[in-house]
Amino acid sequence: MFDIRFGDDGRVVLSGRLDAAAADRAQAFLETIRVAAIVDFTDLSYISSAGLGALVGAQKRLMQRGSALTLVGMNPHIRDVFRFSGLDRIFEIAPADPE
Amino acid sequence: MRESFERSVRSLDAIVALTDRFFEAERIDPGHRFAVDLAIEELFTNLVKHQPDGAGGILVSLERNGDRLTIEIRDFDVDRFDPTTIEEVDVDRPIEQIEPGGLGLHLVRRFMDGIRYRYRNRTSTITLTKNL
Repeated sequence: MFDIRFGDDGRVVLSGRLDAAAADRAQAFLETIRVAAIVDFTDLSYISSAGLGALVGAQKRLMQRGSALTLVGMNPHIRDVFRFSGLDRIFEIAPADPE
Repeated sequence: MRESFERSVRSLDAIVALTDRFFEAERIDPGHRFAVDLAIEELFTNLVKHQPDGAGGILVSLERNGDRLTIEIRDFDVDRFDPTTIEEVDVDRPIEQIEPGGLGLHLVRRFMDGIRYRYRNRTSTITLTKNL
Protein backbone atom coordinates (compact mmCIF):
# COMPACT_ATOMS: atom_id res chain seq x y z
CA MET A 1 0.00 0.00 0.00
CA PHE A 2 1.40 3.38 -1.04
CA ASP A 3 0.87 6.68 0.72
CA ILE A 4 2.05 10.23 0.10
CA ARG A 5 1.30 13.12 2.45
CA PHE A 6 2.77 16.21 4.06
CA GLY A 7 4.43 15.47 7.41
CA ASP A 8 4.17 17.76 10.42
CA ASP A 9 7.47 19.42 9.47
CA GLY A 10 6.30 20.16 5.92
CA ARG A 11 8.25 17.32 4.35
CA VAL A 12 6.63 15.17 1.69
CA VAL A 13 6.45 11.72 3.31
CA LEU A 14 6.34 8.61 1.12
CA SER A 15 5.51 5.16 2.45
CA GLY A 16 4.89 1.67 1.08
CA ARG A 17 5.48 0.74 -2.55
CA LEU A 18 5.63 3.36 -5.32
CA ASP A 19 4.84 1.13 -8.30
CA ALA A 20 3.01 1.66 -11.60
CA ALA A 21 -0.36 1.34 -9.85
CA ALA A 22 0.54 4.15 -7.42
CA ALA A 23 2.45 6.47 -9.76
CA ASP A 24 -0.56 8.54 -10.86
CA ARG A 25 -1.43 9.33 -7.25
CA ALA A 26 2.17 10.33 -6.51
CA GLN A 27 2.26 12.50 -9.61
CA ALA A 28 -1.00 14.26 -8.76
CA PHE A 29 0.30 15.05 -5.26
CA LEU A 30 3.74 16.20 -6.46
CA GLU A 31 2.14 18.51 -9.04
CA THR A 32 0.75 20.58 -6.15
CA ILE A 33 4.26 21.42 -4.92
CA ARG A 34 5.36 24.90 -6.00
CA VAL A 35 8.51 25.47 -3.92
CA ALA A 36 11.60 23.56 -2.85
CA ALA A 37 10.70 20.59 -0.67
CA ILE A 38 12.26 17.65 1.15
CA VAL A 39 10.87 14.24 0.19
CA ASP A 40 11.26 11.66 2.94
CA PHE A 41 11.85 8.11 1.65
CA THR A 42 12.42 6.53 5.08
CA ASP A 43 9.22 4.46 4.97
CA LEU A 44 9.26 3.78 1.22
CA SER A 45 10.28 0.18 0.59
CA TYR A 46 10.12 0.05 -3.22
CA ILE A 47 10.10 2.19 -6.35
CA SER A 48 9.91 1.31 -10.05
CA SER A 49 10.45 3.39 -13.19
CA ALA A 50 6.82 4.57 -13.04
CA GLY A 51 7.48 6.06 -9.61
CA LEU A 52 10.69 7.64 -10.86
CA GLY A 53 8.64 9.28 -13.61
CA ALA A 54 6.44 11.08 -11.10
CA LEU A 55 9.48 12.44 -9.25
CA VAL A 56 11.37 13.42 -12.42
CA GLY A 57 8.34 15.32 -13.71
CA ALA A 58 8.12 17.32 -10.50
CA GLN A 59 11.86 17.95 -10.45
CA LYS A 60 11.93 19.21 -14.05
CA ARG A 61 9.08 21.63 -13.32
CA LEU A 62 10.65 22.91 -10.09
CA MET A 63 14.12 23.31 -11.61
CA GLN A 64 12.64 25.56 -14.30
CA ARG A 65 11.52 27.80 -11.41
CA GLY A 66 14.93 27.70 -9.76
CA SER A 67 13.98 25.32 -6.94
CA ALA A 68 14.18 21.57 -6.45
CA LEU A 69 13.23 18.50 -4.44
CA THR A 70 15.76 17.05 -1.98
CA LEU A 71 15.37 13.32 -1.37
CA VAL A 72 16.25 11.89 2.04
CA GLY A 73 16.29 8.54 3.84
CA MET A 74 16.45 6.11 0.89
CA ASN A 75 17.06 2.42 1.52
CA PRO A 76 20.09 0.97 -0.35
CA HIS A 77 17.95 -0.66 -3.08
CA ILE A 78 16.18 2.59 -3.92
CA ARG A 79 19.54 4.38 -3.82
CA ASP A 80 20.76 1.86 -6.43
CA VAL A 81 17.74 2.62 -8.63
CA PHE A 82 18.64 6.32 -8.64
CA ARG A 83 22.32 5.58 -9.24
CA PHE A 84 21.75 3.04 -12.03
CA SER A 85 19.35 5.38 -13.82
CA GLY A 86 21.63 8.41 -13.53
CA LEU A 87 18.96 10.31 -11.63
CA ASP A 88 21.32 10.93 -8.75
CA ARG A 89 22.69 13.70 -10.99
CA ILE A 90 19.45 15.67 -11.00
CA PHE A 91 18.38 15.15 -7.39
CA GLU A 92 20.21 16.07 -4.22
CA ILE A 93 20.11 12.84 -2.19
CA ALA A 94 20.86 12.99 1.53
CA PRO A 95 20.74 10.68 4.54
CA ALA A 96 17.57 10.49 6.65
CA ASP A 97 18.13 13.74 8.48
CA PRO A 98 20.14 16.31 6.52
CA GLU A 99 19.78 18.96 9.25
CA MET B 1 5.22 -21.58 -8.98
CA ARG B 2 3.04 -19.89 -11.60
CA GLU B 3 -0.09 -17.82 -11.96
CA SER B 4 -1.94 -15.95 -14.68
CA PHE B 5 -2.71 -12.27 -14.12
CA GLU B 6 -5.19 -9.83 -15.61
CA ARG B 7 -3.56 -7.47 -18.12
CA SER B 8 -3.63 -4.42 -15.83
CA VAL B 9 -1.40 -2.57 -13.38
CA ARG B 10 -4.06 -3.49 -10.82
CA SER B 11 -2.52 -6.98 -10.92
CA LEU B 12 0.74 -5.80 -9.36
CA ASP B 13 -0.35 -6.46 -5.76
CA ALA B 14 -1.32 -10.02 -6.66
CA ILE B 15 2.04 -10.52 -8.42
CA VAL B 16 3.81 -9.33 -5.27
CA ALA B 17 1.75 -11.84 -3.28
CA LEU B 18 2.84 -14.66 -5.62
CA THR B 19 6.48 -13.60 -5.21
CA ASP B 20 6.00 -13.52 -1.41
CA ARG B 21 4.82 -17.14 -1.46
CA PHE B 22 7.64 -18.19 -3.77
CA PHE B 23 10.40 -16.56 -1.69
CA GLU B 24 8.98 -18.10 1.46
CA ALA B 25 8.57 -21.58 -0.02
CA GLU B 26 12.08 -21.56 -1.51
CA ARG B 27 13.64 -19.77 1.48
CA ILE B 28 15.34 -17.23 -0.76
CA ASP B 29 17.35 -14.39 0.79
CA PRO B 30 14.96 -11.37 1.00
CA GLY B 31 17.90 -9.24 -0.15
CA HIS B 32 17.10 -10.41 -3.71
CA ARG B 33 13.48 -9.40 -3.45
CA PHE B 34 13.73 -5.80 -4.62
CA ALA B 35 15.46 -6.79 -7.88
CA VAL B 36 12.92 -9.53 -8.61
CA ASP B 37 9.91 -7.30 -7.91
CA LEU B 38 11.33 -4.54 -10.07
CA ALA B 39 12.15 -6.83 -13.01
CA ILE B 40 8.71 -8.45 -13.02
CA GLU B 41 6.88 -5.15 -12.69
CA GLU B 42 8.82 -3.44 -15.48
CA LEU B 43 8.29 -6.27 -17.96
CA PHE B 44 4.68 -6.95 -16.96
CA THR B 45 3.70 -3.27 -17.26
CA ASN B 46 5.51 -3.14 -20.62
CA LEU B 47 3.16 -5.86 -21.87
CA VAL B 48 0.12 -4.11 -20.38
CA LYS B 49 1.15 -0.98 -22.26
CA HIS B 50 2.39 -2.37 -25.56
CA GLN B 51 0.23 -5.50 -25.98
CA PRO B 52 -3.25 -4.35 -24.93
CA ASP B 53 -4.96 -6.85 -27.26
CA GLY B 54 -3.31 -10.02 -26.00
CA ALA B 55 -5.57 -13.00 -25.35
CA GLY B 56 -6.45 -13.49 -21.71
CA GLY B 57 -4.01 -13.06 -18.90
CA ILE B 58 -0.22 -12.86 -18.67
CA LEU B 59 1.45 -15.89 -17.15
CA VAL B 60 4.21 -15.29 -14.57
CA SER B 61 6.36 -18.27 -13.50
CA LEU B 62 9.07 -18.39 -10.86
CA GLU B 63 11.47 -21.28 -10.51
CA ARG B 64 14.59 -21.97 -8.50
CA ASN B 65 17.37 -24.28 -9.65
CA GLY B 66 20.09 -24.29 -7.02
CA ASP B 67 21.68 -20.88 -7.00
CA ARG B 68 19.75 -19.63 -10.00
CA LEU B 69 16.33 -18.02 -10.04
CA THR B 70 14.42 -18.06 -13.34
CA ILE B 71 11.44 -15.82 -14.02
CA GLU B 72 9.33 -16.39 -17.10
CA ILE B 73 6.67 -13.95 -18.34
CA ARG B 74 4.51 -15.38 -21.10
CA ASP B 75 1.95 -13.55 -23.23
CA PHE B 76 -0.38 -15.42 -25.60
CA ASP B 77 -1.74 -14.55 -29.05
CA VAL B 78 0.24 -11.32 -29.40
CA ASP B 79 2.40 -9.66 -32.04
CA ARG B 80 6.14 -9.84 -31.63
CA PHE B 81 7.42 -7.36 -29.04
CA ASP B 82 11.01 -7.98 -28.06
CA PRO B 83 11.98 -5.77 -25.11
CA THR B 84 15.61 -6.92 -25.32
CA THR B 85 16.03 -4.93 -28.56
CA ILE B 86 15.03 -1.64 -26.92
CA GLU B 87 18.00 0.68 -27.15
CA GLU B 88 19.99 1.34 -23.99
CA VAL B 89 19.23 4.72 -22.44
CA ASP B 90 22.03 7.21 -22.02
CA VAL B 91 21.98 7.80 -18.26
CA ASP B 92 24.28 10.79 -18.68
CA ARG B 93 21.86 12.76 -20.85
CA PRO B 94 20.71 16.22 -19.74
CA ILE B 95 17.58 16.48 -17.58
CA GLU B 96 15.51 17.93 -20.45
CA GLN B 97 15.98 14.68 -22.38
CA ILE B 98 15.17 12.32 -19.52
CA GLU B 99 12.05 10.30 -20.25
CA PRO B 100 11.49 7.79 -17.46
CA GLY B 101 9.65 5.45 -19.83
CA GLY B 102 12.95 4.21 -21.20
CA LEU B 103 14.42 3.54 -17.78
CA GLY B 104 12.48 0.38 -16.96
CA LEU B 105 14.36 -2.06 -19.13
CA HIS B 106 17.64 -0.37 -18.32
CA LEU B 107 16.99 -1.09 -14.63
CA VAL B 108 16.00 -4.70 -15.39
CA ARG B 109 19.34 -5.20 -17.17
CA ARG B 110 21.18 -3.76 -14.17
CA PHE B 111 19.35 -5.78 -11.52
CA MET B 112 19.14 -9.12 -13.37
CA ASP B 113 21.91 -11.41 -14.64
CA GLY B 114 20.23 -12.45 -17.88
CA ILE B 115 17.30 -11.57 -20.14
CA ARG B 116 16.14 -13.59 -23.15
CA TYR B 117 13.21 -13.29 -25.55
CA ARG B 118 11.48 -16.02 -27.55
CA TYR B 119 8.54 -15.66 -29.98
CA ARG B 120 6.80 -18.76 -31.24
CA ASN B 121 3.20 -19.47 -32.37
CA ARG B 122 2.22 -15.90 -31.47
CA THR B 123 3.39 -16.44 -27.91
CA SER B 124 5.95 -14.07 -26.40
CA THR B 125 8.18 -15.44 -23.66
CA ILE B 126 10.58 -13.27 -21.69
CA THR B 127 12.99 -15.21 -19.48
CA LEU B 128 14.98 -13.50 -16.74
CA THR B 129 17.69 -15.09 -14.66
CA LYS B 130 19.13 -13.98 -11.35
CA ASN B 131 22.09 -15.60 -9.63
CA LEU B 132 21.37 -16.09 -5.94
